[in-house]
Amino acid sequence: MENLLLFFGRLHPLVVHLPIGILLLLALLELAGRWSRFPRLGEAQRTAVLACGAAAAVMAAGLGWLLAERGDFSGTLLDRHRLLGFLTAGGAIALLVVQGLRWQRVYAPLLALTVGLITAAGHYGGAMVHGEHYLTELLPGKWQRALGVPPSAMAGVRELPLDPATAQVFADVVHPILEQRCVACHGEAKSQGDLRMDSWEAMLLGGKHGALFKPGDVAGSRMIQRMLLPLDHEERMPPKTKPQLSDEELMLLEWWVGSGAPRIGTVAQAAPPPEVADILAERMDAGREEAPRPDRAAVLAQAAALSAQLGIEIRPLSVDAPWLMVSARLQLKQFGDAQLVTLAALGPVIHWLDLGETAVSDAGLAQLSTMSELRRLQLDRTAVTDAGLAALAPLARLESLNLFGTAVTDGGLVALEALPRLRRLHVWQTQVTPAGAQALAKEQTDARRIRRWEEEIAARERMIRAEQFEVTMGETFPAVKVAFPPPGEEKAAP
Amino acid sequence: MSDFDPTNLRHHQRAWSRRTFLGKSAQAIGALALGSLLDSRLLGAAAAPAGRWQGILPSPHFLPRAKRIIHLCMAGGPSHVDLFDPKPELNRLDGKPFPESFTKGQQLAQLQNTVLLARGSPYTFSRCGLSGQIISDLLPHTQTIADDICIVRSMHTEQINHDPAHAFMNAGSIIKGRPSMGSWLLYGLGSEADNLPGYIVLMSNGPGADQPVSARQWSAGFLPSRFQGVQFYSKGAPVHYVGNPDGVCQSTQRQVIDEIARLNGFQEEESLDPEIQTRIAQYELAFKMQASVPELADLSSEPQSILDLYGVKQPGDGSFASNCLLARRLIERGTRFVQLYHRGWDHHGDLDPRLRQVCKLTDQPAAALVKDLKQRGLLEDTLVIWGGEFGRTPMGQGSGRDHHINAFSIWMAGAGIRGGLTWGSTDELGYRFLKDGQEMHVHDLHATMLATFGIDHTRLVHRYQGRDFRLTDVHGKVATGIFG
Repeated sequence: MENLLLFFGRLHPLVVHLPIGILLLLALLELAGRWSRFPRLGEAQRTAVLACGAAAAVMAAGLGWLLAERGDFSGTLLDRHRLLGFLTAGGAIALLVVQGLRWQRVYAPLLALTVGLITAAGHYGGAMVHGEHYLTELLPGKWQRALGVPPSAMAGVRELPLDPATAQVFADVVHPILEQRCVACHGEAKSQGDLRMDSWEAMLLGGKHGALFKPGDVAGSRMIQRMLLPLDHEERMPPKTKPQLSDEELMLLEWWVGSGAPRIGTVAQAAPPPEVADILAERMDAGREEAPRPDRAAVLAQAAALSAQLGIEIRPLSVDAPWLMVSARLQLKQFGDAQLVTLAALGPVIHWLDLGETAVSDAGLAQLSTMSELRRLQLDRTAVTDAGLAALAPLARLESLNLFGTAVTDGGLVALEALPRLRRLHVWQTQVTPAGAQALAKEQTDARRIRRWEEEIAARERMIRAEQFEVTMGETFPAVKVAFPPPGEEKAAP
Repeated sequence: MSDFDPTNLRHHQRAWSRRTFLGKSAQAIGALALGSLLDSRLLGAAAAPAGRWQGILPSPHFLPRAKRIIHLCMAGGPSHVDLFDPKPELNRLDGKPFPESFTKGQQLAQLQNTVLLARGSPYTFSRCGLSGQIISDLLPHTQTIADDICIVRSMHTEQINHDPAHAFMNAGSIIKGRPSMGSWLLYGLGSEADNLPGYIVLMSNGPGADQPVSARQWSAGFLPSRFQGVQFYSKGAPVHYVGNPDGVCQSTQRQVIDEIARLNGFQEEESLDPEIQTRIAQYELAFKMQASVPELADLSSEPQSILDLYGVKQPGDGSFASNCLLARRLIERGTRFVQLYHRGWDHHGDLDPRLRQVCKLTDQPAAALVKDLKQRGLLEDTLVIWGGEFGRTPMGQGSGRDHHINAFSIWMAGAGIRGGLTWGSTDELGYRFLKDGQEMHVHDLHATMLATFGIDHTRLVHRYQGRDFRLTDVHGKVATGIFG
């Protein structure tokens, strides 16, 4: 019986559209009726339409009540929705009575009021299903501010404070994840399963199944357990149809619970293990605001002037961005530290810089600190030594570095460990030893990440094998192998 | 649109006054040039690049990977089933009739109307490098760069005879007057060097290198002729008569060049012919090459270890090895497109001795080039393409193989192309490429090559005789899967 009632309750989202449609149609007809071309449009079927509308409204309200009593719903959104829904049903019945008594004066304002009520009720109902800020989250920021939408809903991901010494583990790392993935259903406005996750205390209090986590006990914490269930599992959280936690986010939550689920404390104090520290660093990096791009036309004009002045090759790299590739190589020893100072005016927009075979020295490399966007740097056959490499530390986006034919040694490579994106290094004919290069390669490679991807590939390969179809025909046709897809079609274009 | 465009007539009017200025300042510039001659490579640098052709494209269409390209053209048609595409099934059929289902109704070169017999490969193959790419044991040095090259097995072309097939490989068309790919690149991007041509062709000598390759293969076609390939002599001095005659010094030469430029300028003003602009530019370039070419060709600065790497016995002897080394020196000096032709791959008969011979001549230098570019960091932005104008039949022709257009193999390296990758495949007899999404028509190769330079092949166009032309005509698909 309980289940049957819940079954009818679940028809509420379907039936609820009937009174909305009917009552809005009636309002529309009444409005049209005020226009002299359709004098009787509103009155013609008023009673019949109203009767249908009122019946539908009562039915929707009743089913809604069943659902609210038996489903996992609570919170302020539900309270408002329920109140407005019942008021709408009452309004519809009152309209029917007014119409029966021919109280023309009351009719029009009451209809307007009922339409207003049903609009508001529908809005809160929608907010319960889709999330509180479903309607406003995609609006331009200006409008959101005018409507008073809270900033966390606007940004999607809240940016981390960039300093581990001040960033709070719970408030700045853990809670933004929960806010993004959980609080829409388990918050103040909507608290499914009587669970709220919008504060540390509420999480400890838990929902109808008890506390969400046991500080320090990852495996025994309900929150983590539910997050680790298979996607198809009924109890999996977030449910299959909702946006999922990423692997990194899950790792952060596990780390937080495992380290005692502290409410207060900074990232630096929590001393995360390296793999967690990496994820945190990445998130902090992502939160870093991108500097506004310089104006492309102005950059190109300046580039043309500098190209003529210095006699070097400067070309744009992109149709719509100001990024440049610069090569001073053919200038040979005519290009030195002084010319590099002049070139530094373009520093922030240079992506590729070829200074190979020029007279640039350690002293000049200080100019590179402005070149925060640099991707490739060629310093081969210059007078650069270990001392100069320290100046490369600010080049956070550098991917390739050519030091061939310089006096660089293993000692200099240590400075390169500060370059997070560096992936290729050329050190032919230098003092660098294989051991030194190996140490840097190890430092620059995230073996943990590679391992995780390899596991993903292996899992996919298992899926492919599970999907392939093979027929064994034994000795009947020993030379024939039946399989799908046939070998020739396996290799599709990526 | 670049502000310097030889097809734009208004430019010529503006350019006149610049040349007048140059003519009047002849002595000053001459003196300047003289001062720079001590280090000849500085000469090019002394001139501001403002007047240099920077290409018709104001910027690449998307992020470029390549800045330069070396095309190792193995003229004659290397046999794919003997080098890069082993076929056990073909070996099994060796000497037996070639299945008619493959060949029925198809165009053949010299085997037309003959009994077709399958010819297996007498050579062994090895899996090489970490990637396990399969390469013939005829190419032991290429085997050592297996992880740096991407072997494309699904090449196919439309032309079955040498000259039209070369034309098709170079210009995407056999119709005379179409620009070659090097000319298109130069037209689109210009060249970094202004003291050397941007598009240089070298032809190596050696036993078996008997077939002529026509100079139309590096023609600029309907593009202004300053974009055509310039052939250097591979033996002795690359360019003859770059030295001045006795009694003529460089400053006198400068004055002569300036005076000729002035006179040519008058003619140009009257006729408004862009070819006069080319003539003037060529005089200027030739003057600069008087200094740059001897320096380029002087291999004495190359250590013995490098000569040994390439297998150069006598620098400047016109061998493929010497040319590969020269190619590296050219791209180091800012040349955009270097094309090395090595002839002697046309093995209609005596396949075994002649294939061994030509492999011996080309294997080590080609591999050395890739290794040398890599150790210098140049392979990151230099595209190397090794391949012929077509392949050879899996059917025998006497003791050799005939021309074959339905499948052949090339390899590419550098410029972000994924090393160790084998792209595309052929049927079990190596007769035809498979339509597996990785097929590579010559047009697709051109589209992919332009893509490495950040050029959308559909947007590098030139209007000629009322029609927009491009290297890939109306075809071409970029093989995006070979990148990364």
